[in-house]
Amino acid sequence: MEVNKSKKIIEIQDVVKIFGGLKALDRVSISVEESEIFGIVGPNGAGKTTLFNIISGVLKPTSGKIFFNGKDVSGQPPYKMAQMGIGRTFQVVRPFSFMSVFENIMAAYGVRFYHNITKSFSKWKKEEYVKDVMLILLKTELFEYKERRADTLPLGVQRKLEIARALALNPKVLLLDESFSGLSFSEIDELKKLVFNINNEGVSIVVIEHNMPVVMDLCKTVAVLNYGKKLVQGSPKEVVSNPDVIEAYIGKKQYAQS
Amino acid sequence: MLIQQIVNGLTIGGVYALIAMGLAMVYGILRIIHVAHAGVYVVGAYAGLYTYILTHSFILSIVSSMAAGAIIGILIQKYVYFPLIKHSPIISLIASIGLFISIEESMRLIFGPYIKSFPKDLFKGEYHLGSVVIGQSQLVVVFLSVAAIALIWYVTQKTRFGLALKAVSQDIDTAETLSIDSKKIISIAFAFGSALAGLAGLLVGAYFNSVFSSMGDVPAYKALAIIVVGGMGNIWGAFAASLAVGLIETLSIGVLNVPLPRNSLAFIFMIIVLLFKPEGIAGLFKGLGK
Repeated sequence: MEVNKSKKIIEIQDVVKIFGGLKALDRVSISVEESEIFGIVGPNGAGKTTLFNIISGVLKPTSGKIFFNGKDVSGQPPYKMAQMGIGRTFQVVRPFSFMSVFENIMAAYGVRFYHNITKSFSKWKKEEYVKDVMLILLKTELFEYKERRADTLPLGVQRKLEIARALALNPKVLLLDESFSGLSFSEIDELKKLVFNINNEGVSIVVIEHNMPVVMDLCKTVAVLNYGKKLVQGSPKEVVSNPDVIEAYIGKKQYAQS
Repeated sequence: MLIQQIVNGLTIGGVYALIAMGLAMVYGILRIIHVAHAGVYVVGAYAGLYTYILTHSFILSIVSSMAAGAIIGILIQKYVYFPLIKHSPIISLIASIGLFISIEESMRLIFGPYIKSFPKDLFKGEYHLGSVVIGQSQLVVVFLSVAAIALIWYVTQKTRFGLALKAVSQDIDTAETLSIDSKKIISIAFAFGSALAGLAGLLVGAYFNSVFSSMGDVPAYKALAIIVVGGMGNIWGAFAASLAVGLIETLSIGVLNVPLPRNSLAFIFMIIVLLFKPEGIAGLFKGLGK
């Protein structure tokens, strides 16, 4: 068995997305290997979230292809992507506010049943399902909040809830859209631990992140987007010392004329 | 006398609930004021009436009124509301009013402008409990309303579909990214709500023994008042408001002899609720949230 030749879980080929006259993504190609943590960085407006929306089916690409586990899934609706095993979180948290934490997770746990109309009308509160959801609650350290209404929780907990909800899909890939922003240091450490734990169970993870120390810690490979184009891809260390990347973030080096 | 009026009020309130809960469900998911829901109710009444005339089986009438309601509901949702979903809600409202008028007028053209009644063999019996008289038709109406409401409760609270419906009515896009096929859920909800409206049409037709093309006029607007009172989009608020309106109407007219037209009372009640509790009465019952 070859160890180094790992399988590609997500492969994006020449994806273009045009909004009106704006090219949000310009022939972007990225591939994520099975069970790696892949980082996407770039200045605001670089097209990172658009890329996530395309991978999760929320947006359809103008052109280009998306492969998931070797299968062409370009243009599939989001619920199909989720059923295949792509889970995601949102940059601005979007819990189902009027539902409890437990119900939020249970709604996603239904992925095992929604494809079948008879099963859709089965009872959701059966012991075995409750037990599974309890395990997710424990893993994400949300157990103490399980009966709380989702909109009464602090931001850090809502972020974890979004991850827990995506985990209930039993995903092969988890897309985390700036899950670390706005969190305290201790919350960041907790969340990092959680991301590593999820990854250790074999789930591939793609993170969009502005917090570079977090990216350095988590990711094996990082791609940099700028104005909808992929600038470079490499290890976090290579990427931060790349002159193009520095230019994208802080501008060109200019010499004062004397 | 008072108990008699309470029984009558709850009976009519139960029928209001069948109409209003479906309406609240639709408002909860699509934020559309579905006036044409009352058109579905009229179609259900005619379907049930003619099935009874042809077969003399009330069970078959129930089935056909619900099936007719469900079919009309799915057609309305698929071919009218879905194409308009991206536009301002006022456009769907106008479409809905137009649809309501055209359904009623079609019924008038097809079945004639007369009040039709059920064959004489339907529900003649009466039961006496002390001084309270309960007609057989009343008993059937109460029984079916309770059964239908219990079914709504079970489906919305206990099944995966109910949970998915809750999720879709809060945030369609997020629900989709969590594997929920929102179009399918919305279609099923429409079919379900419309089947109940069809059943309500049959029950009212049988209770008052009259079916006519404009029988939906009053329910169309009264049901709106009820869902406003219940808290827009809250089906259990709509349930409570339906019983309240049924009771208020019957007691005001029958016991207090209020000199106002019966059909104005729901709106007066709505105005009072809007003045003092504009979010609707649903908040009064904790734990019965959406």
